[in-house]
Amino acid sequence: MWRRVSTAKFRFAVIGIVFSILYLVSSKIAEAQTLSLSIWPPILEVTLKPGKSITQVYRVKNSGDDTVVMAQVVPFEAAGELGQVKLSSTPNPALAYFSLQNADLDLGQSFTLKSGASQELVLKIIVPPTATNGDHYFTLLIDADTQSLLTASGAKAAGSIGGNILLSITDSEVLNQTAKIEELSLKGLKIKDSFDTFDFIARVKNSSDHFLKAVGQLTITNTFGRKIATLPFRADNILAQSIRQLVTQDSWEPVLPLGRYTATATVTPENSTNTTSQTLIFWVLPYKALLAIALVSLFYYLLKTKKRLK
Amino acid sequence: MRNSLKFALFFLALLAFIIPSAVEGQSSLDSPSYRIKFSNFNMTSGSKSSDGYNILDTVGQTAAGLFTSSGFKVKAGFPYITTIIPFAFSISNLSLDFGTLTPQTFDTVTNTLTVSAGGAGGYTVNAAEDHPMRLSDTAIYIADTTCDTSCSETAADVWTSTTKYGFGYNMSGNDVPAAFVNSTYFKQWADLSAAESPQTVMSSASVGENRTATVTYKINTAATQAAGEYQTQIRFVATPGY
Repeated sequence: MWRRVSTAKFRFAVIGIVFSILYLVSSKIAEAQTLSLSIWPPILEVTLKPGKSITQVYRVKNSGDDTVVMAQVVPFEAAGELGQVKLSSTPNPALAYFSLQNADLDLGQSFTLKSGASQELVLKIIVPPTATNGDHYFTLLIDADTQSLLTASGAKAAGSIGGNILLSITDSEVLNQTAKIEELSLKGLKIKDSFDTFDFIARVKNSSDHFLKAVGQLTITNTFGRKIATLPFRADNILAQSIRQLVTQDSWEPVLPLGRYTATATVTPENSTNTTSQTLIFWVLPYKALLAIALVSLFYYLLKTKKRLK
Repeated sequence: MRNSLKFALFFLALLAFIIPSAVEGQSSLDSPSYRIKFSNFNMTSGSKSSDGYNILDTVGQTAAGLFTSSGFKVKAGFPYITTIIPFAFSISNLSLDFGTLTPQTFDTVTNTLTVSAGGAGGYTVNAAEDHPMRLSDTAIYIADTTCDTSCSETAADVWTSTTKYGFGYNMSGNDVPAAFVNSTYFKQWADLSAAESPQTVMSSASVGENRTATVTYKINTAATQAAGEYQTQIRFVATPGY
């Protein structure tokens, strides 16, 4: 009797385990498909003489589900002044300079990238001897096409990730880029309140035919001409003949500033001595606090006058 | 008893197959005291040739830095920002299934976009649809929404009226366009079949890790809409800043 019950219980337990496993397996199948890609390096800055070549290893990692990816090189142009890119469909003859050196892969060729797997892509850039001096901007784009289950009305999402390539072609050892500060200003009113935040706008134009890296800082002096802050700019790239707004690595957060201040932006293209600078004079007054005190005083005066008249 | 033993052995064998799959794919090297990312293991692929000078000992690395020689200069990564974070992009759910569409009733689905641009000067995510929602293998479409009054792929507007039909999206979270004032504001997807330019759905000029935004896909059909399954593809392209 005991043996029969025990066997029955055991079988019942086994059936339970079977259903649990089937449930776990089926729920995994029905899980949403995800895409998760990373690329390194996110940017590649190359200066090449005509007739020379370089290779760079890119690493693409798939942290999502199994997917099919394809690498291609696409031209880009600046989108706005904050360093963002807009992919372009305009044909560029310099696309022919790019190829993959992997034995089994080439640009435009699809390959499977399993979940958790990485792929190294060896990108070669060969600039022909006849190439003319100038800049070309591209994105190495990794397009992913993940198999997804869409059984009714709906949309399938697909994703791509890119790394930017700034290519300067020059037969000169020294590029000698030049820059000009187009604008140095403060966001908001010209007279700042002592309790305001101070967001500086520094728009710098690259007036040369090759991209440059802007190195510089913003220095602030007070009413007495004493330097009270030095804020280095993030060393961002500015594309040829374009404007970029530089951002400071730190923000200026003075304690109760008051009076006349001078901000001086100084920018020098990296590997050059062509320094450019611009100065901004601004006033800081606690006018919001003064206005509040004046209103309270006026209200108090009116109240007192009214009482006196009564 | 012998049968029970067989059952037990069978399930032990089954578990032996299942359990290892749970630990597959652990490729990062982590411990409480170290982390290795982008190590130079397996650096074997690719041609090792050069054009008159040795470059591959310096250039073909997976490390940030400046490499120079006569005739070229290469900078990989953002050496001035101390980081080991690559540029990364994730989409949480690729199958945005509305199920059976009910006329004059809003159907919504969501997914999440995540961007890490730790080593780059900001980023942009642009998006566009291949075409408006289309009944399989036909030229019958559910048009892109025009919201309650007027919206397009560039301008958002309130969309709460169930008598306004179409397909559109809302964005919420980090670094989304200011046009999405709240969850009632929607836009059309840029339509690649109509040569519309992809539109920015997330962007930032700053370094950031795990910036996350939720996309809400919304559809509403008229009672006269032909029955069937309507589908399209939305393409997201994430690029770092330069």
